[in-house]
Amino acid sequence: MYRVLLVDDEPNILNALRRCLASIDVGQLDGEALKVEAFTSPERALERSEEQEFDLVISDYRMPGMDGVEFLSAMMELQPVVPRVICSGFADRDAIIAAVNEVQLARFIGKPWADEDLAAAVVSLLQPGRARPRAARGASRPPVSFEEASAHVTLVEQDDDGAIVLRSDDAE
Amino acid sequence: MPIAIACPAPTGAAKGGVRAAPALDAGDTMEATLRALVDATPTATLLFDAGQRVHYANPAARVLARLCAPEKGDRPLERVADWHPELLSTGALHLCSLHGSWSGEVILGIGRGQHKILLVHLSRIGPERFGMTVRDITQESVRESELHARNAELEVAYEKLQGAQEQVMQSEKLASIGQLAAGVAHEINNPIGYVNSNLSTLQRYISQLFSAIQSYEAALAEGAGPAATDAIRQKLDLDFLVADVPQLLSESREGIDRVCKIVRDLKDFARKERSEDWVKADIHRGLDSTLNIIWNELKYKAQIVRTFGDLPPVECLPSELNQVFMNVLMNAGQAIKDQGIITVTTSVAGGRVRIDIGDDGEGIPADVLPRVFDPFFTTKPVGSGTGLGLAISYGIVSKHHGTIDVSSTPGQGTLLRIELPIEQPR
Repeated sequence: MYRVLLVDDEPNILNALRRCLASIDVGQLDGEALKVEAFTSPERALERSEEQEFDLVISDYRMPGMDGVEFLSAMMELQPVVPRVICSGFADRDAIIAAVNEVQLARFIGKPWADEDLAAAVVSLLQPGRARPRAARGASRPPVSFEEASAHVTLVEQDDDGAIVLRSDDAE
Repeated sequence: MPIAIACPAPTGAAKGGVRAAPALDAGDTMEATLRALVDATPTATLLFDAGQRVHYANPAARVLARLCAPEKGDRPLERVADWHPELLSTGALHLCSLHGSWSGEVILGIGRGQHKILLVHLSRIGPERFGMTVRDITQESVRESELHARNAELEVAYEKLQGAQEQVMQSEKLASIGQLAAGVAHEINNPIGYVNSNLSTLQRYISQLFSAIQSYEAALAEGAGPAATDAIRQKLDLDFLVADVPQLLSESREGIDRVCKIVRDLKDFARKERSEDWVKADIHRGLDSTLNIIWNELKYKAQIVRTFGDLPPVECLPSELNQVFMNVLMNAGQAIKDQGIITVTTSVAGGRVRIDIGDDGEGIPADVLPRVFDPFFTTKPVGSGTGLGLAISYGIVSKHHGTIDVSSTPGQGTLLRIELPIEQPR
């Protein structure tokens, strides 16, 4: 099962995102179900993240109390490897740049979004068929860095573009 | 009574250039006094008969003679036409005979393309007797026409300035809307975002429903029982769909309503009205529409507490007042660093309404306070303020015969108090 965390101060956005994610065919996710948890409060989402690991987090940028970058920074502390996405209608270029740089965003999705683009982004970020970082560590174990896990990497693959593809332990 | 005649002696004449008057009747002191008066008066004064023969000219007339023909030396001045052919028109004389008097401006050509402008007054002072006073108003006329020209120039300049001021005000308004644009865009993109996404979902739902109908039709044709229809129901998740469609629609409807409202508020706010459109308007409506727009910007950091009193309609230029409200509210919002409260309080007293806008932000230092209404004065970083907001607000409030005052305590907050008369003075 893939767990996705949604945070937006607008409940209608959360419902629309849920519907969009519900349209993803489980066949695209290796038959794994998608479980969505949605919060209108970033603080509540962080509380939940202390007890539950997620495979993907999608957050709004402008929220009362805590903005998306602040939320995702805190999320990075809790769950460093979870891919982070901001979905926002905020048009300020500087804010977007700051978001990308400060919390190493996996994607910035503008509002309004196209459902198929969002679904495709979610599928690609969940990386079905690849090793799932969450699966690599036990619930109580601290996250294992790539170097620790792959101190003696010998298997080097190149993709179609010639880029080196690094795979974590159980990838083949 | 014979009229004393003193024909002018053009040159080298006795004192004043006028022949000495015949001896007066002893005791006729009144005539002597009048005579002395006319002799002393600085306005050229002539007496002549119906044949335009000059019977008397006072000393000031000598100046007139010189003025009429500067280059001619001695010459006879027996008849008025001898002074200058255009000095006395037959028409004027005729009118004077008819009505007893005539006044008018006479323009005399004096050679070399020059001319003099004279103010001529004729009066009939007896049978066949006329008096004439002539004043040279060339200088005044020139000055007057200069004044007219200057005045026209000033009027043009004033119009230009007014145009420029209107432009500055409009661009300031646009600049403040520009500052809001990011917030408003966000506010519009949110509902558009979910309405758009919901429409995609609805499209999927509908194709699901169509396949459900097809499946039911097929099952019906086969005469399938309830078990088969249940299977279809479950396979296509119809229960969920049926439950979700009304919610999806109502959420989408809400989203569209929100966009409409934002657009309406913006239109309300930005409406450009002609400067003479004074109307009796509800101040609260202006405050509300301005607060709605600015709320998009403020809601992430401020609570707004409205305490509205019972206000009568106020004679005003509503969109200009909205601009004042927005400038002041934007400043209040910017004064709040993290989280704060903005209070908007209205009341009425003694023919005036009062609008208090307060914040619990960082306050204004005492040395800055006296300058906040100065044009181009700003403490904001370059690019984020024109420095005109409060200056323009001050101008708008003054135009309404109102007052705008600021008080502030650094660290505790700022209060802007706007007072406006309910009726504009006539």
